[in-house]
Amino acid sequence: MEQYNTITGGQLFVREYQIGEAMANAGVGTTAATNATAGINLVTEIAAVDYVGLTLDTQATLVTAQQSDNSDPARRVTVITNSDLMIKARLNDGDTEGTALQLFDVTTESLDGLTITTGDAWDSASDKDGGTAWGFDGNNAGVFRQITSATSTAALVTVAFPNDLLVGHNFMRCPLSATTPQWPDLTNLFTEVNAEAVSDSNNVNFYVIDMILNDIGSDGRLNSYVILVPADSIYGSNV
Amino acid sequence: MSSPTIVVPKKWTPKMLTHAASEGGRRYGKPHGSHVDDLAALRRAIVLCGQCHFRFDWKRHGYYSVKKYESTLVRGKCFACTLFCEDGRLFIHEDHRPKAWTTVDERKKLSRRVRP
Repeated sequence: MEQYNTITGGQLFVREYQIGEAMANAGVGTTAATNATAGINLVTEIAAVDYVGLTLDTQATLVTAQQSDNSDPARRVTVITNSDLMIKARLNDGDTEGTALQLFDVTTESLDGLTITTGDAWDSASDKDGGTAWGFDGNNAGVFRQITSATSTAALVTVAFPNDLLVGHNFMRCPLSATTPQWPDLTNLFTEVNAEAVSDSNNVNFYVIDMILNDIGSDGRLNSYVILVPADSIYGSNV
Repeated sequence: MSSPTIVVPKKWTPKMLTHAASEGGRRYGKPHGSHVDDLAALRRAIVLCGQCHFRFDWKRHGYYSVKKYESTLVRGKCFACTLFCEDGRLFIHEDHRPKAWTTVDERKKLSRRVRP
């Protein structure tokens, strides 16, 4: 995940924190230390309660023992701590980073532009209701719609696509939208967002405030993003 | 007559390499420049105040300067003099920059055709 901007346009506040666990990747979220840890911790795939900030570097190892050369064993990372930080995260297909989003090809045309019938399950556990579908190619390339209901073979939208949905045209999807509150599910290394799952409503991590959904012209399978804001920063209320 | 130089290779173990790659805390009395040099060697992100940043050659160390390329200052404690500053210069190592920071140019390049 990457620093993108701030909502209020304020200066970034950057500081070092001691780590409570190894942090092998830059650009990951961190949460406050608990009584049982030595410093800040990484977020989890589904939660970011007591969010501290976004890391700008790494510490591959947590050192706890006293050192023979009397050097300080504490390890630190540099973190952006703004509570209104906008974080750009790539949409990924599944838990493993770097996986291109799936394409869903239309199998039954829709002449009213309201039904995306692909034969795939849109009502699976990942719950696409309230999510977003957008055209990858064809005559609706680059057009998005919020999914208002889903079935085992199709997604339905309330506002029609401007052009007919023809057989063979491809769409992409994710369970998130900028207008419906859904907690994103992060990937294994907490650097991207899983576009095929959502965190359940009991977990708090990030609000989605914007989405950058690219089509075939910009290779949207690898270059589609959500813009997140931490929902539970320890440094103040958010959006 | 000059003395010969004897080079004795050091046998690095994984433990020694890991330890060398980890940043130790700042030792009392350690010069500011030495500390920043150590951070740069470990590719840590660095914040320097308006007085201290002149002495840091960020290009040579492979860093991205947020102030230089985005005209953006940050707030925080200077990693050299440890004073809190409001005119901090943030330097991010290029190895980590693509994963943790979106530049202004990258933001402009992102397609605006589909924006919910």
